[in-house]
Amino acid sequence: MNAALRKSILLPSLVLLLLSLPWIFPATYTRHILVMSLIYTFSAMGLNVIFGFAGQAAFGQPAFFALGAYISSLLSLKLGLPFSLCLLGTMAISTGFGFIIGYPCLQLRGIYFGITTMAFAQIMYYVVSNWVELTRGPMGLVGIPAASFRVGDFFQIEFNNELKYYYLVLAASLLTLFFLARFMETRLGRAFVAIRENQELSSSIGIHPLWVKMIAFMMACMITSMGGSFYAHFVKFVSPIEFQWYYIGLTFIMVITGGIGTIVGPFIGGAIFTIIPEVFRAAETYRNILVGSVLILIVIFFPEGIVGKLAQWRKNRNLPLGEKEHA
Amino acid sequence: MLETRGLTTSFGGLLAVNQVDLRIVQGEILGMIGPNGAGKTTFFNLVTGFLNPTAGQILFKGKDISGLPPSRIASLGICRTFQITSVFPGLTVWENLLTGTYCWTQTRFMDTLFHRRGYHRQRQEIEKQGEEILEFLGLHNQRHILARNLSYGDQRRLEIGIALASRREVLLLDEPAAGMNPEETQMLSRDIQQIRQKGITIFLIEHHMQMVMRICDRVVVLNYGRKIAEGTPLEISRNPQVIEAYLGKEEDFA
Amino acid sequence: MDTFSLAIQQVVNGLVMGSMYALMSIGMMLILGIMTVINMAHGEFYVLGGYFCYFLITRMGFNYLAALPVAMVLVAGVGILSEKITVRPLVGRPWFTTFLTTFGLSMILRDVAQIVWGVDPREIDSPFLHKRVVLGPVYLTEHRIFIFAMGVVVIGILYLFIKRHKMGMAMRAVVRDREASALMGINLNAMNSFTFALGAGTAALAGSLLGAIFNVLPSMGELPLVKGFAVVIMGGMGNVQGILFSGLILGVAESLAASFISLGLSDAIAFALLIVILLFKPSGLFGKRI
Repeated sequence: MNAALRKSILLPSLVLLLLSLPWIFPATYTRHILVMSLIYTFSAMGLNVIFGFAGQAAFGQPAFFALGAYISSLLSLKLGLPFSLCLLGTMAISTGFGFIIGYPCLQLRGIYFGITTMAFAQIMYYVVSNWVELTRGPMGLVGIPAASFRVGDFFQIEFNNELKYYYLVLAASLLTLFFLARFMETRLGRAFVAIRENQELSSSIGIHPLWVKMIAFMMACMITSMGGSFYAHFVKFVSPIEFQWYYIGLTFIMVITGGIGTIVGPFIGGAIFTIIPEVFRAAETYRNILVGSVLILIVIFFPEGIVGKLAQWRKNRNLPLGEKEHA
Repeated sequence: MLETRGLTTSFGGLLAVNQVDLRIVQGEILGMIGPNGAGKTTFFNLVTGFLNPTAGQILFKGKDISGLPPSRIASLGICRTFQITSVFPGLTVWENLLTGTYCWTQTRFMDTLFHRRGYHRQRQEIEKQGEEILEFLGLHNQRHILARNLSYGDQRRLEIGIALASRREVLLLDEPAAGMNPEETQMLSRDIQQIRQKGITIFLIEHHMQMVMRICDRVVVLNYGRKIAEGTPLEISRNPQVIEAYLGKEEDFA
Repeated sequence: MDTFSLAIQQVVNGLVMGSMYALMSIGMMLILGIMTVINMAHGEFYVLGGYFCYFLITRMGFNYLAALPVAMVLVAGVGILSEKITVRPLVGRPWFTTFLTTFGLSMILRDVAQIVWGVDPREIDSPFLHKRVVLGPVYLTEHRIFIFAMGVVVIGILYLFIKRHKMGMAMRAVVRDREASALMGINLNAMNSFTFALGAGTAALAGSLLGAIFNVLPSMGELPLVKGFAVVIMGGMGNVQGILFSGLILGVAESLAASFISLGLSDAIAFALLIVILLFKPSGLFGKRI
């Protein structure tokens, strides 16, 4: 099966599958899980941009998910903005944060960069927990309005149930995915990968490491925070818990099990690691033991991630299934 | 084309490069030789922005480029290879070459987003060049192999390929023949001459004397950071100071 | 209490906490330096130390002083087992793979602790807790002095060990050049197990010592883990003295911040400090070779 044929069959069928999932699993509970895994996919996609493509291990990245959730909630609660503006505002503001935080952090390399981003993430956590006037601290923000779109007086739709929200987030994530795939075909996208592979060589062919990494970081922040925004208007409650350490690991897990540096990987990783904890929810007390064990097994036996592994069975290369060629 | 005046850099008091004046003419192949530790790679690092000079100037086409970051210098027209083979290990040969085109490929984002004509045109140009370079370097059959899986010699050639892909006017090659056997060195010499014929100026550091003698128009000799001789290969081989600098070394002198 | 006395009190408290941060961090640093592993489960070793100590005292009738070393050994054993499962199979793989497996391990260990001992805080009774000591304006329980003393002594022993003892020198050799060390006959597998055991044991000690002051909870490992990393980076890789000082500095900064700025934000101090230091001196406060 050559690449073109593969693409024209596989992609539409995947999209079709995604469209029909809420009907295959119609219970409210399962639909809830589907929505959540799509939401977490944003987190994974964001991390994928800075870590998968640009190769910088930003441990603090998932904090932008929480940040996005808070910004979006505050925009709608305090300023009464409609959802679309909240989303856009969140994207803009977190990109700004990405700039402010990214600049100092990216002066460092490797694990030092990672830990500094983590330090910023922790600081964000403490600020949010303690700035009670703004964020109500540990009590969190409640009553966040559902997302709704309104065009004049005739068209209004409120995304207040799982089904509608699923399609909303699905549309958004597919659009983001499309955007990312095309972006990786630009010279900037190639520059991300170049930096990951060999930073010195990249600078000798004209790529400015700091600025390119900054852009990658800001993009990652933007995308991750979108997930946070969707989260806030779905769950309608945010609290500092979202900043917790647990989510950092979980997001990395999603990206790596899905397949680092692939376009579709985060989707799969996001799905797996939202679904697995739910599957084990029945065994409530043993849940973390099971999830942790699954994680260890996956890392040991499927290091390229699910998507990567499948690709390896096809040819001796790391070009994953369904990926739009990004070279 | 490229000129340094009194270029100097010191590491904690040690003058690694000491008041070096150099001029490279467009279209020539200039060789730089000297015993190990003479400061040749340091000189390259200075010229390409990986190191900042403590004194002196670097001029490219009349413009002062001293102190500029490497990416800026590259975008102005100078590209280099490294002493230790530098490729993009996780990418295929083909992808390596495509990545090298960063400097001169600029498509409107909208064009790429929707795969419009501008995008396709650019793409075709890049791919055409990629094919040419593959042919030229004889890496055609390996285009889908990951760079890290290539043999040493192939990686070396790929490195030059990436530099070629960037379409720069000046190419700085740091010991391109390192670790190559005589046959490979021959092929490399021929390749370098062909590159010059396309109008690219070449500045290379080498220890393989036969190669230097054969292909360089002029040669500059560095020792302890200072330029001790400059001239045609023939003149250099007869220069008593140069011979003395190499006494005790094993380089064969043609 | 006037400001000055409060400050001194907090400095002393800070030194006590700081010595424990340093103790945690040394283990993490060794694991990171020798094995290039970011041990996300280190916090759970700390927690297990506290729990084993509790268990030994309440169920097995040990006294506190005897329970300490036994708990350390037990957790060191857990450490060796952990290494075999989460690190050994991943030799040669990129560094973030062990990040993930140790993360998974920490999830497992945390749940295990929760299942076995429940969510309620457990108390460890130390014989030193009951006597107070007054040094000028400073009030301390004997236990805190004990903690500090233990911290300094153990760190001192580690320092000497790394510097003088054959095994310690082997460890330094491995940090410098792993392959060459293997060629010279150093058994890397044994070294890995030993390093993990050492790290786990010291973390357990910290957990047992601090567990007597703050009760033992399944979730208490998270902050020490994160602060531990901060101290490693601040102190500079490979530098035992650096880590000791960084740990102490962190402890003091935190305590002072807790009193004079805000209790909630004092934890953030660790990270703010880390960021500031990294931006001005990326190799850490004292960063250089062992």
